[in-house]
Amino acid sequence: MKNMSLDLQILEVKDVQFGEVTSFRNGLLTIKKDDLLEACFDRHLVNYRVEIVFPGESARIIPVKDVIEPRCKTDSGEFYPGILGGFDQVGEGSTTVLRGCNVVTAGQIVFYQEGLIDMSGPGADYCIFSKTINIVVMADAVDGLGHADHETAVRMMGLKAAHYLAQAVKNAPADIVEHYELPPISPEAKLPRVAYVSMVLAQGLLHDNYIYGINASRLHTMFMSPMEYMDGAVVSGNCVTASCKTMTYDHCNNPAIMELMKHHGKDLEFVGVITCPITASLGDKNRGVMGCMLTARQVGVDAMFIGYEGGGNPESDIMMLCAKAEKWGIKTVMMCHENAGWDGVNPGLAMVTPEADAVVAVGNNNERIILPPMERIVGDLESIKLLAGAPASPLYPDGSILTALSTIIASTSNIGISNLGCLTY
Amino acid sequence: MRIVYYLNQFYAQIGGEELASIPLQVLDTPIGPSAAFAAAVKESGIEVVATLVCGDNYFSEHNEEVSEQIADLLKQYNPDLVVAGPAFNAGRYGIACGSVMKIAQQVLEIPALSAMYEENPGVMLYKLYGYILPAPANARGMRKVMADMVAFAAKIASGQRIGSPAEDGYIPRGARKNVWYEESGAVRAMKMLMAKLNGDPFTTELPMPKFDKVEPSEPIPDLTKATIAIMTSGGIVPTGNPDHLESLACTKWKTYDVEDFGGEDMPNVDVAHGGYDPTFAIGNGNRVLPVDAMMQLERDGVIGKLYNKIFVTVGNCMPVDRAATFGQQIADSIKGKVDGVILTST
Repeated sequence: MKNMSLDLQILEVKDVQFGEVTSFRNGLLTIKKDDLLEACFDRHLVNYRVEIVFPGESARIIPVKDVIEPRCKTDSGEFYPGILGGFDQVGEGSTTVLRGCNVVTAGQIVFYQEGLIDMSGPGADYCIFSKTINIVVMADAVDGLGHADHETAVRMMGLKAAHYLAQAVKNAPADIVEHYELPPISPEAKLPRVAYVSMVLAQGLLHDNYIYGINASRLHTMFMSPMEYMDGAVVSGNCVTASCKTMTYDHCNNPAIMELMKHHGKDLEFVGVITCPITASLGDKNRGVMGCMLTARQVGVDAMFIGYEGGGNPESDIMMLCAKAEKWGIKTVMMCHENAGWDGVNPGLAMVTPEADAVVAVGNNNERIILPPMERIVGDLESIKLLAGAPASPLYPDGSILTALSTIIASTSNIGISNLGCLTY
Repeated sequence: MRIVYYLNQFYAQIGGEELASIPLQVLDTPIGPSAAFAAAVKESGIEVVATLVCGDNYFSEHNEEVSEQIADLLKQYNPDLVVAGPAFNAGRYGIACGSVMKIAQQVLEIPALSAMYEENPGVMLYKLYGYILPAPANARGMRKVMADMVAFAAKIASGQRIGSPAEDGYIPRGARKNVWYEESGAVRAMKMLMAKLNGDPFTTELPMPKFDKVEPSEPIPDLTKATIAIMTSGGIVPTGNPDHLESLACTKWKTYDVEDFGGEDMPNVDVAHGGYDPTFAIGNGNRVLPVDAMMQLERDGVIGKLYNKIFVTVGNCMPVDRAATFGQQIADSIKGKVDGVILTST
């Protein structure tokens, strides 16, 4: 059997401009605006617009729904299998990646749990997307559009915009080629076998992810290749609190998966990714955890590296899994944010278990920050009043914002994106 | 920056123990430590906008009333920081300073600062809610402590982040604070996992709360000869709450006789608990503390005897450590006298 492998053809994007033809040359991504907006079309949306925002700029993007790195298969130009593209060569072959720029969906708020990205100032320290050039696509909902249809339309708009950009420049020569493969490990090496457990929100009511286009709330735990993640198998469609939301970008660039890939063959054997939907009811949670355990034991793993999404309710899923895994002799590590109150005095997790003895704390998302006014607002600043985690009167007259970290996109993500941590003082 | 300062009657130069029962009052002009503090911070652009003073006994005996008044006053003066003390090793004063800190932290959601001797009970009870700087046991160290408090307040006023207890000299609070690492969460988790797999030492970044596993006692061999006690964390108290059990994070447990509640029908009852709707328990304590049912079981010979003392506290938001301490104290007091206990909660 030929081993599965994936080459990422990286185009390093250093600048983005609007121009006559969409192209990529010498680090410059030129975008033909009309073609991009045409690609975004959805019958539920009107008033399409796009803006380019740069790192270091005095700019605030709000409310942000998703962040998407433009990618497509280098040969076919297809991507987002099951959504925009087909299933040929998923997780293998060659994929073109526009690194350094992202498509960001913003505009009218869909629901409370959206967030903001500051391109400079103190808020920028907390967000990896403050350091990329952001191509912000926005559109308004047609009259009478419901939340769910609005979310779908905006989600699709972002995927279509990102896909348009990648496939338009896919033939440009790559600046870097990254090769991903999990070569077989000889049992004699006696390396510990480790699975990454990717717990993705699937709770309905706009708390959903899509796996091959299927709402994950309709899926059972499944065993996947890390390269499927890199090839857009998982797409974010949820409105969970912004700080602990896994964006579509994050699914493709999951830092825990990347870390395990680096260690494979050196001090561990990375067996693959167990993807488990985080559901709403206890029965379904038990089923999901059972699925993780059966998969792990059938594959034979010594350890689970657990990442998840959201906070509060999903903590029951990770703690149930941790308790079960440790009981069966599978060692666990997990990454958790806390809701410990503005001053860190409250219990930070809704559920705990004594078996969880190896937890990386990725930050208290209730901690407050004052974000200074920005010269340029992309989107709608007033929507801060509706974002989860903002106090009753978050907007000061000068345009600065008092908010909890929870409104800053992916600031306390449970997949270990940032260098933020939390200690007992 | 605006500061509200808290002092007891002694440091406000009103009087000593004989005036410890004076109610809460507001001084427009700082006095004593508050005046020294105001003078020292003036250049940093910090203003002491009000000084609150209360007698130590009055605060302790009217905790709920004084706490409400202080919350209202803080809302009115709208400070950015509350400063209380230093309380040195004065227990009642330390607890009062701690209460004020807690109100600032919980109601106004602003930082609070005090200074106490490390064994002052105010430290143990309230360190979570603000920054308590270490102070000597008595006021001879006033000058140094005031200088520390001034420097700390100036740091908060300047907008600088308060660092760890080691960096900034306050007594460890037990509060969670965000910090920056050199490595991402994923890299840290990877290292932790490798250590765990290799059997090397590692430290979790988020310790789980401790779980005491309590082994159940052996069954009571003969219930008809057993003495059974009844206890509640539901805050069932005699009318008027004579022992001033606090409605939240209660600091005491008390014992009562059935007669204190007006007998078996439990008519003379108030509810000290601030966490549930007391409508149905007021006037009939049996709804939370089923004395009537227990006495009937005694009459029917199902149990030997109902123990003559009833144990009461308020469980609402009580820190687990304190609840464990209370449990141990109560257990010690009934050991050898009681064969079994029925606990009712809400």
